Amino acid sequence: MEHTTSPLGRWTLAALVAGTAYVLAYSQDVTLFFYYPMVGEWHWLPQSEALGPRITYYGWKAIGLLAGGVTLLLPRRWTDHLPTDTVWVGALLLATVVCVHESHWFLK
Amino acid sequence: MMILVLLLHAVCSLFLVGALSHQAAATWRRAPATGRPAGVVAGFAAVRAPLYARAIAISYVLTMVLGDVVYGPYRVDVKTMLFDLQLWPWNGVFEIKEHLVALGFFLLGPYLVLWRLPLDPVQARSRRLLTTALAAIVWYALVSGHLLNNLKGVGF
Repeated sequence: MEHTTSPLGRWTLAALVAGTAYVLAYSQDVTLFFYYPMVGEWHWLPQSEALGPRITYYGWKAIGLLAGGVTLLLPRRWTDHLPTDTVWVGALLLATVVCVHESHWFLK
Repeated sequence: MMILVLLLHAVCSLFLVGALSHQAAATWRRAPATGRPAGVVAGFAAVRAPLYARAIAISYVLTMVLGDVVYGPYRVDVKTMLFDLQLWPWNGVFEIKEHLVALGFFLLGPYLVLWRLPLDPVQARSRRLLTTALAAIVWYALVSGHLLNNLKGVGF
């Protein structure tokens, strides 16, 4: 397996950490903030059901972005020798986890 | 207004799926094309793939943001209907779409690095498979979004 000394390692790790943080956040239903589209309000904490359905998706993506952003701050020497194949193997693994986690919708 | 955003979302996704399909096909081409491509399939893959990368990344983000805007009314109107009618598989189709699109968004960083000129031959396999994975995500998102819109459109 080939290794790289380009910025690929750093960006690969950031992408996979972001993806993992996103998957963990949504599978555990943890989010940074809530959006209530019926009233157009953003809240840090869940509100009364009177405000209508809430959206947690934006908060999950924000968690992923934050996690990925922090990973980009790691020293480059830590990520320089990441195998180049890590990026697509990691992407496939995360996509598989998502499909398995959501399979219950098709079994009801 | 929301119908206009939905239409823009659809148009952007069509551009994205076309560009990513061409680029992914180019990565599977056996040898660089010289002269005119021999047929339709060869011509489809005979594009200057590196030039597509930045436009694809911008288009991906734009399409996703427009989708995020439409998601508000979708959550209120369509998802509620899917739950009321117990159309669970259709909700599953959408859940997978939103998660895969988010994962694809996070992968745009390494994607852009992989397509940076001059292309590194050591990274050819990763470039091919990541681009193909992104193309698959965008195709899935386009088809599932279209089917869900047929079920019940946002803004109607």
